[in-house]
Amino acid sequence: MNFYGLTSKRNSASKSRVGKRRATSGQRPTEMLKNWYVWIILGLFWAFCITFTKEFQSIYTYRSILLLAVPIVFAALGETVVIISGGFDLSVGVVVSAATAIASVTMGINPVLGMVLVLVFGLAVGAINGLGVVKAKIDSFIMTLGTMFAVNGLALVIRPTPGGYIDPAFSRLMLYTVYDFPITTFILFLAIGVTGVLLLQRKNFGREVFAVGGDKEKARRTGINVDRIEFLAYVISGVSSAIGGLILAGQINTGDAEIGLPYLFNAFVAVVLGGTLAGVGGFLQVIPAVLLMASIRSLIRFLEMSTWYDFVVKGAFLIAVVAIQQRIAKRGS
Amino acid sequence: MSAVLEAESITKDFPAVRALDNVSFLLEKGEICGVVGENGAGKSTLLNIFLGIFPPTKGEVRIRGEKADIKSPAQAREKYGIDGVFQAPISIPTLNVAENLFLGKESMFYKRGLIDFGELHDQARRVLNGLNLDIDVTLPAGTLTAAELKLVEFAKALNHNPEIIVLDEVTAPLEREAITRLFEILKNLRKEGKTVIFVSHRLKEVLEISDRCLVLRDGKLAGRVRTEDVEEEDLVELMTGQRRGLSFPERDLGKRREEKEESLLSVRGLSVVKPTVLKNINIELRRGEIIALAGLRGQGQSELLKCIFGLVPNYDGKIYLHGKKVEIKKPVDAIRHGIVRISDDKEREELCLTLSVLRNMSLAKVSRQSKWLINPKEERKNAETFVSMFRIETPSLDQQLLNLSGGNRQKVVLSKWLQVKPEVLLADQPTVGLDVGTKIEVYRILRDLAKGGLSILTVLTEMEEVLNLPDRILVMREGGIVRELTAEGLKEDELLRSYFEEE
Amino acid sequence: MSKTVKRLSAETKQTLLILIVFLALFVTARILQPKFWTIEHLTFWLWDLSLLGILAIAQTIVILSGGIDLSTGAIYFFASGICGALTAVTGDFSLPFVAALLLGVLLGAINGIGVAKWKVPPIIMTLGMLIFLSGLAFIVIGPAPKGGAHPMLIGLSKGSTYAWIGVGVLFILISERTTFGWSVRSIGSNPTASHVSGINVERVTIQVYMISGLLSALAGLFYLGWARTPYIAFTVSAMGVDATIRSVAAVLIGGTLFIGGLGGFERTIFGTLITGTLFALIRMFGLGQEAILITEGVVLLGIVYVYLRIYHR
Repeated sequence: MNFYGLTSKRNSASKSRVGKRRATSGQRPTEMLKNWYVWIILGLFWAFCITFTKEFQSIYTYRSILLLAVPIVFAALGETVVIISGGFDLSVGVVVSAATAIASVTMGINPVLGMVLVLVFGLAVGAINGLGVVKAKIDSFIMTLGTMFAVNGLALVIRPTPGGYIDPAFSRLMLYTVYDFPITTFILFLAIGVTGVLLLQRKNFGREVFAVGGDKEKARRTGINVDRIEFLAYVISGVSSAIGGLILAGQINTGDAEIGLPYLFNAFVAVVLGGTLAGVGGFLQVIPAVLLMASIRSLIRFLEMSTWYDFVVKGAFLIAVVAIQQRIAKRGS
Repeated sequence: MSAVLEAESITKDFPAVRALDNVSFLLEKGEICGVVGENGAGKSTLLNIFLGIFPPTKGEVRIRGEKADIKSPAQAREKYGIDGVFQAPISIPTLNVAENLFLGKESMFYKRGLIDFGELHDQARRVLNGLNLDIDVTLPAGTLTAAELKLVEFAKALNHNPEIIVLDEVTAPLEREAITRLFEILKNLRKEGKTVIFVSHRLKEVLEISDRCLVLRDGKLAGRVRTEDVEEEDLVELMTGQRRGLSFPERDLGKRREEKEESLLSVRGLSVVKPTVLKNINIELRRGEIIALAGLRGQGQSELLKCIFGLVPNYDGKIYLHGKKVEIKKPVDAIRHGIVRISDDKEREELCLTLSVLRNMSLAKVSRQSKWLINPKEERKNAETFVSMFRIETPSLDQQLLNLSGGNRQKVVLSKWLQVKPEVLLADQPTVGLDVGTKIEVYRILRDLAKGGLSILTVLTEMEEVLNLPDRILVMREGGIVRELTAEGLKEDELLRSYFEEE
Repeated sequence: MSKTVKRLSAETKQTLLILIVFLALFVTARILQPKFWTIEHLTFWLWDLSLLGILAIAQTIVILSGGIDLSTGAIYFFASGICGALTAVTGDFSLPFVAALLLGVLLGAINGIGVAKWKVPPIIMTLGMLIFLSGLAFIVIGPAPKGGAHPMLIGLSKGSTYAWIGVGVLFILISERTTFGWSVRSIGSNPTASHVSGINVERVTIQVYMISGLLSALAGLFYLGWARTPYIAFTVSAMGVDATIRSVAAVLIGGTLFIGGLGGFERTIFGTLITGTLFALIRMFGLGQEAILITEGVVLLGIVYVYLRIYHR
């Protein structure tokens, strides 16, 4: 390809923005901050906790944080993809509960069967959500609200009271530690973290999700199959939450149809804290946010405060974070 | 003679209007063809058909001799080799320049199944460097200036190596030097045997770069000329030609000249820096007078009206009503002083589409009245008065506004504002998108209102309206008022020239 | 017949559909259980529904303004708990009553300020408030139900049906005949146009959420009067989330969608009645909570889908 000289006028008066055109050395710190602030907050929080509490100086604490975090991070992945694509998924919590319920009932027959059924279930819920949003053109909030009701009911039918049978080998695997290091949990966390980041940042699909969330109509004009992208987003959410539920079932060794709601809350707050909006954000910041959620929970437990403080803190946190994000966005424009 | 693109009897109908009527022409390989016409003549519609946005209602397009059924922009690009730059940007603001350049094609950069961003950015830089564009490819597209965005989209189009390049008003945001270089590129493309379709309002540019010109008027092909055979005036004549049959109400100029009245509305030294530039605007508007803000689109006319109405927070300058200074910082201040505005962006700023006609009509009044109770009967009566006065076509007052046609919606908007009994009406393109019949009605209404004492400051884009509706014309360019003309007796080419002329 | 149907406006079609669905369910209930249509039973049934009814009205005004209030259920329980606790301490009627209502208004005001001034999207603001209050309620009131209901409140609570009807009528009037009501709908339909037309969008928005908080608290007081103790379940799901999403579902089933400005209080009342009839029917079949949830979800989605088809989205 042979191109010829074409200069965009760089030195006319209105270009007070010349400085901004390149990532000059002055720009780097702000850019870095924007992409890593959640890690920094997490670091500061841990530093604070280590200084002032005994518990955070012990390795067991971090182990339990990781255990707590794993199901949340799976639910958060789904929510992240959906929100970036421009929608909402209210059903992640109930999918987690239903997954534990299904596992607790089917694993008795055959553990592998149980796992497969859980995955199929997640896929089914995701597909239903996807169809409703894409084909029936129902607003994602309403659609996932409806599935939230229905799946909740379904979970209660399967598992009216907590209990059931989770394959002991599976449970052991989930809680497996080597010299006190929770190896399965760690691998799972790492795996989903890496998958989530790579999927969104480094795959065609991920880029298209951002495009759809950024401007649906323009994305369509560019030839992107918007319907397919949206549909897949909800399917990913369903499957991911189901896996999270499966892991949780292994951890607590029961099925519980009512356990999911805090997972919706925590996943949602983590995703929002990670700076996720339609068309912007990424899983890289959601990961520390999830760890932060789990850490706050642990801290509250150690301080022997009622677990309800967990909710108080997170509720206020959610509002504060978004208010601040809005402030910053306004000042930037 | 190898015709690379042939259009045969292309007709395009939209719900309210026939945008193209039996247009036929052919383009050769290796030529640059300019397309000119007034606002609404059909230029963009024609391009959109070639770019695959929508198909023609009637007629056929042939590419390199074969019938072409262009179903989508992607198909236009891949199958037929047609690509170009739209008038409205197509870049996703939240993605960065590199990502936008290769949107949809990221798999080209897969290394072991994952996008290699290093390679993506490098390639993007290479593409931009080819045009000597010094833009950081990691910047979000939303932060680029209009000019930079246009150039990036141009680079993107060229990167697909199209045979036919379509450019819709690309020079609008560019500076002179960039335009010169752009033209050099176009000439080189021509040498390579590519075909360029160049649409522009700027006649001088079209004459400079094109080999031939197509002139559209009211959706019909008014002329097909070789550029070397024509001058600017000839193009203007072809563009304007026969009247559409628009009739305008008589002006009352005799009366105006006698009453040496004080200004009702005085704007002195209005200047703004953000978001658009306005430079030292001075306007004296008298009672019952209609003044038109004219000029090319986007020269600050709409922003000026927004300022007077309180939608722009920081401006320098003063506004006087009846000789007294007034503070207008938000719309509600303006309304309180009897100044109202009809927006050009009706869907965003005027219309509550899901509400009924009745509710829309009472929208401005509702907030103004001191009583907190509403008497629905009274509101209905008022609304009905306006419906009959303006001949608004609606089965009932409770009909949802989105079921009304554009013209009727416009009348509802007008009724809404008249209900607060204003003294000044700021009308931003009040007739855009309306059919001829409705336009005539709106002109009559506006003139009657002016006769009744309402002062009107309006932004008009169509030449005919500018010449026939107002009493005075203020031509704006780049945020300032460059000419003041009396409408009576003004000739069209003189007006058109004032739009383009250098000071 | 289908030609006549086509000529009707979308809104009329929706109204007809709601009426038909309601009557169909109502009649089916009668067929399955003849006693359903006795005055005795109906009065009880309405009374049972009245709390949800009031919550749904609170939700309606917020949705009409273009937002949503996910904290209604939490304010509901929180207010009832505070009133109960205060009653145990003071033994008075009016002080706890008024204090609880003021609390609802205050919490609503915070929601409103978050949405209007801090520009936090309503979903997030009220979700945050829901999460926050869920925790706070337990901490402040404690897992063991403290306090009780004043005898006067107990008596008052028996008449909650009248309160529901009263509130319903009041808001229908407000919606049709006050500048406030008209402003709320315009904001829901197009906030920019409303602002440009001179409506004080911020102030109206805050007022809307304050009303929602007030009504939610009122419903909570009636709840206390019925339950005699501020019953607070140990699981979060009972804690306000259920009540909230039920109120949203009732509004949606009634036909006030997020399209903004459409629908209204009459529709919500029918939505509540339809929900109530569904509950009754399910109970008649001897099924429990699970069946209710599943049916509610399916019905919600089904009916919203039909509404969307009617409105041609």
